[in-house]
Amino acid sequence: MSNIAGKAYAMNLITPIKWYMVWINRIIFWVGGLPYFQKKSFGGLITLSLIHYARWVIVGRSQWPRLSEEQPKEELNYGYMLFFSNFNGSWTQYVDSFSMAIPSGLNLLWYKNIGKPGSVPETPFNAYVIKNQIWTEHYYNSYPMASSNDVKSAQRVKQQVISLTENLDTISEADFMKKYNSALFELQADISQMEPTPVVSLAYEAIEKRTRIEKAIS
Amino acid sequence: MPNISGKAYGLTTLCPIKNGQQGGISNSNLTRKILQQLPENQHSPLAKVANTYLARFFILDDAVFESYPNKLDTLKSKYLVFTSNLHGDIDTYLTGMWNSIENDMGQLCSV
Repeated sequence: MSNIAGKAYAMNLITPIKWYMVWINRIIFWVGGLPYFQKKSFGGLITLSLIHYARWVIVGRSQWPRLSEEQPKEELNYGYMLFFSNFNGSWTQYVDSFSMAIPSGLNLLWYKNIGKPGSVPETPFNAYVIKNQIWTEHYYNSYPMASSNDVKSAQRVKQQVISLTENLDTISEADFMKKYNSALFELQADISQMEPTPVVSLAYEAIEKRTRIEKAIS
Repeated sequence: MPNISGKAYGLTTLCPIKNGQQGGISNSNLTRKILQQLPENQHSPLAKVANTYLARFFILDDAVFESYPNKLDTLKSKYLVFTSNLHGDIDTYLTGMWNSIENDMGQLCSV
């Protein structure tokens, strides 16, 4: 049972919303997904570059799957918002980043969710997340040692390498060297050695540090 | 409401677990046990499913109670939740999933 796979952390939240707020929340997400508002709503988070994928799913009171007559029908007072996130860094870094980067966006994304405090101050909001978080039983990451930024770097490197292979039949050696050096300059932040950071688990980091010290002593 | 962002598709499934127990262990806990015993990382069955970026399983035991004066909701079934961020279209993905890990999925769903 783990929320962690490599550098990624899986967060699952379930929060109740009043039944009449279900469609209002859906409209908020629809509007928020429009390109203009997406940048306004999520610009801060995109800049932080912590997140691989995140999604919000709203399940109305009558939308819980019922696969046979033998399965009892749900009779609920509230609709539910499910939030799933895959991010890099620790839980605290992530939740605090939301509060700091998009406080008003946060309030909008969990609009009128039952019991949700404002995103600022952080302590009550952190407590709300802890209360509503569900632990992951099995988490799979196809690129465990790559953070979100590593993936973006790889995409940039790929584009530059493709660009370098253009016109190889006609370009002179000198011009190619110029192009190559220019590409290296642009990619200098993207082609450094991959590190185990960001640290996902402080406990894991502490164990690794102790192991290194013990090996050095012996 | 988009399941698609760029080339990625966000799949969310809620699979109700039959109420009841086997050998004194609830079906949901049996399912949980299977999930916890799945090999991890590159040995995970999900590693065999092409086009998977990140995927997870968890058990939704019950709704969350946000304290008085809010009302208490109780789910009548527990749910196996599976989410996947995948590349490409959903039909190809699910067909590939079935072809790759039919036995693993069968074990999970057999509880």
